[in-house]
Amino acid sequence: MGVQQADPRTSAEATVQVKVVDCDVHPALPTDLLLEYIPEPWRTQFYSGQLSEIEMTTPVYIPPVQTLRRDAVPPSGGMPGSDPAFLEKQLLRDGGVDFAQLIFLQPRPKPTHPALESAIFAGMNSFMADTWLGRHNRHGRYRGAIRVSPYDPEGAVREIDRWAGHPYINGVYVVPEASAPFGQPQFLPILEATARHDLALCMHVTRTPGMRLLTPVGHPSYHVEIFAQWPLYFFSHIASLVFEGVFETLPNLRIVCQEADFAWVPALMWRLDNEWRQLGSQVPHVKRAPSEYIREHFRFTTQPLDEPVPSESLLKVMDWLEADRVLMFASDYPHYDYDDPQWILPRLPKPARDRIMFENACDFFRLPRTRPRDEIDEAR
Amino acid sequence: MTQAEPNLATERPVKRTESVVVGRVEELPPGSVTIVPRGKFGIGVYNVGGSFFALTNYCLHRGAPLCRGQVTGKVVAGDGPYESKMVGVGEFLRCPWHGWEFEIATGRAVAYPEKAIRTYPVLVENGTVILEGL
Amino acid sequence: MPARADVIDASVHPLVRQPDELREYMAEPWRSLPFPGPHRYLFPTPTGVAPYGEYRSDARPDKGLPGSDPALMARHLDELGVGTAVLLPLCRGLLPNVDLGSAVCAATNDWLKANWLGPLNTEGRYVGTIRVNPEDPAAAAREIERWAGDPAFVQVGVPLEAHRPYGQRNYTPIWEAAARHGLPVAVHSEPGAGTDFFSTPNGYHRHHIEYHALFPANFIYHLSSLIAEGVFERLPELRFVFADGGFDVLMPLMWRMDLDWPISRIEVPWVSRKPSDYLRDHVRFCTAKLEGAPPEIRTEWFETAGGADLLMYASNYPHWSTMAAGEFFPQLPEDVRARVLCGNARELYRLPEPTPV
Repeated sequence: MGVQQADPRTSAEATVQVKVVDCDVHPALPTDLLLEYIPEPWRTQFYSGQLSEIEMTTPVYIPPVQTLRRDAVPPSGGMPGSDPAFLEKQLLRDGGVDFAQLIFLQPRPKPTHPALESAIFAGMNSFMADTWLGRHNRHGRYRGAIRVSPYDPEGAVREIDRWAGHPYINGVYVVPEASAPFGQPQFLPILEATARHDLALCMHVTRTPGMRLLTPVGHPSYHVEIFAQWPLYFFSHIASLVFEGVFETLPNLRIVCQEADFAWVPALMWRLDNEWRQLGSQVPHVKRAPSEYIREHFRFTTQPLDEPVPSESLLKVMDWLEADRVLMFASDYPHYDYDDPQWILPRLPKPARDRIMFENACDFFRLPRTRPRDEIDEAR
Repeated sequence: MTQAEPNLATERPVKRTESVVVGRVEELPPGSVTIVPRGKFGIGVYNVGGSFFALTNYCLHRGAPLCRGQVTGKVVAGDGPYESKMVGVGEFLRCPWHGWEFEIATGRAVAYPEKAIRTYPVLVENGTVILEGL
Repeated sequence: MPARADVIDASVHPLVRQPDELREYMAEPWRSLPFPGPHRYLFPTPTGVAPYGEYRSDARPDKGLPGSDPALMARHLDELGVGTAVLLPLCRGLLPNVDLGSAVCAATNDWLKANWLGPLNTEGRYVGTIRVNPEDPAAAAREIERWAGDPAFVQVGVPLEAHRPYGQRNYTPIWEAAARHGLPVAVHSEPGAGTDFFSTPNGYHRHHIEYHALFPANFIYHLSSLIAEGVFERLPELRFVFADGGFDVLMPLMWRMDLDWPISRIEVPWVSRKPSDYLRDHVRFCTAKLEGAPPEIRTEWFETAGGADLLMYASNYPHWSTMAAGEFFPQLPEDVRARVLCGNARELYRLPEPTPV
């Protein structure tokens, strides 16, 4: 937004210094584009008829007005995030993003049928490799996370093994609305494969319907309630991964909690540390304080950035968090609660700005600190 | 601020502000918004039921292009529990990003009435809509 | 630390001497029906490793369950530095037979009155909680009416575990009755072997330490519901007490609720204030032993989070996590500690000033 300043980092040089890594971007994937990628027998069994009869159009608990920026609708029509040229313009050019981590929220999980879920995610991964990480990635600015079903461990490991080594695939995305906490043994093969291939485990909420939405006290009524409750999915996974000793078993496992904000992380760290000091003999395999594991193995994104009054409270939380170590910028383009990188930058503590806007993400997502100058830079 | 009675014997200094013609009234029908490329972000000129108002095209929340948002009404609580009704259809603007509602005539945010978008005066003269106060 | 007459302990859990003692206060057929015992079955507290069982070992009288001996409790409360104690008896969990659940609550109230709030309570050291069954709102409202005139009862009590969030409309008669009588509603996790849902949104955790670390945060499911459904708008006098703690995660979760409140107005237009604005007028939290920032940032965190307004000291006696009054953030300024140790509870429960010793 706003007037473009002359960008001192672009010049006649062939490379550009990275300044903004966006750790959460959502291209849209309409089901009809996915069809040809869905493997058999699933394509014939489920997708022979009307797509609208099998795919979910509108989840429950979405914000009541809009879930997407209204100004992100491409000029050609279609869903925000569906037009690669327009996404490039709005996010990379106007937003000034150097690298974007792509997380596909379509197709929706199939919680009742893990094998089908594996199949459609495998199709999505192929689509992503062909398109957004393929012909739309000439500039090399996109990275993507493959999707796997946590409930089909063999299929998930096969899929991870299949894509490991792809130059633009650096993550494995699993939906955190889960039927068991991820530290439990049934998930270990997936975490092991992820760590073995030096991929990042990505967690991003989707609002999968049914029992995954069940809270300890039943089903809430409104979006505004569950929006406050989302972090508790992450509380559960983080506590499980720590107290089941997964980080002792997999010292190289890296995990990012996307679109989960970060203000709750200090309180969770304190709470788990206090519990561990008192009750830690229950879990002797947990050798270090939970907060140490959390800072070492987890990253969190800035989005959606809270707006406390007074605003200094957010800076205090960043301080308690050691945000310079664990926080990474994300825009969540093209969702309604998009955080513009230029709007965010001055609101970060000055000494931590570079770390949050790109350094932590370059380290975590294995990105270079420079990239080739491309036609998008020319257009700015 | 009260204005002094005109003193015919002396000249009062007049503050000059820029104004720009937006268009003919018939080109800007009720319910329409026209974004005038002035200022850093543009200014949206609205026709609300025949009256004209103008707002900066920049949401005070996070910098969205405010005037790309929906013109709508405001939902308010009804009389009984869980009752609601929409009032002022056409008088409110919803930001295209986080959905904050603003009253077009005043620029005031519905959720936080102490916050308001900057407004500009709009004049209609001889069927021409003129944006002032630039 | 010597007992301070002014310290109010907002959550103490007396127990029957033995499980079936409760039946003495029940009519037939409930008296003869089976129901779970007073201990938590799911997520058992290990006995061979910390914390070595659910209760402090020294809280077990020679005969009887922990917290069943008034003399022993009185002595322990003195040692904890407590003056007045709000007794919050726990029931038998979520029972599928709602009438049985209501009968257990009513019997608990009769037992509490007879054993703890009656003739033995001459110094008024104890005040009590009216236990009600949220699964039967009409019966719950009647039970509140039954005790509301008795000044020994200062609040209503419901379990943290539920089948619907507490803001939803089926509960309206209960909160109306509580608000009508100026009685706060305390929410506390319930033991038993009942029809609880999972304790996290991801299902069961395997270790007690995980369960214990996570369950107090579940207050947010009820709190966000109460706000979003407009309960505090319709009942301006209603107050809720989250007696299992969770204050440490309150601020960041409410920041999120505030963030998406403007876009939600179309769906919940009756929420006339930013959600966190409801806290001071309607919500309190009990302290918990294992909560809070490390000492070096504790004061800054406490001020930022507004602990002085929202917290009430609770020992949680006789559970293993019993906290003495003196253990509550000693480095805080004395006037802030006084609000947490007594001021906030005195105001909430409308308790008299202590008589000088």
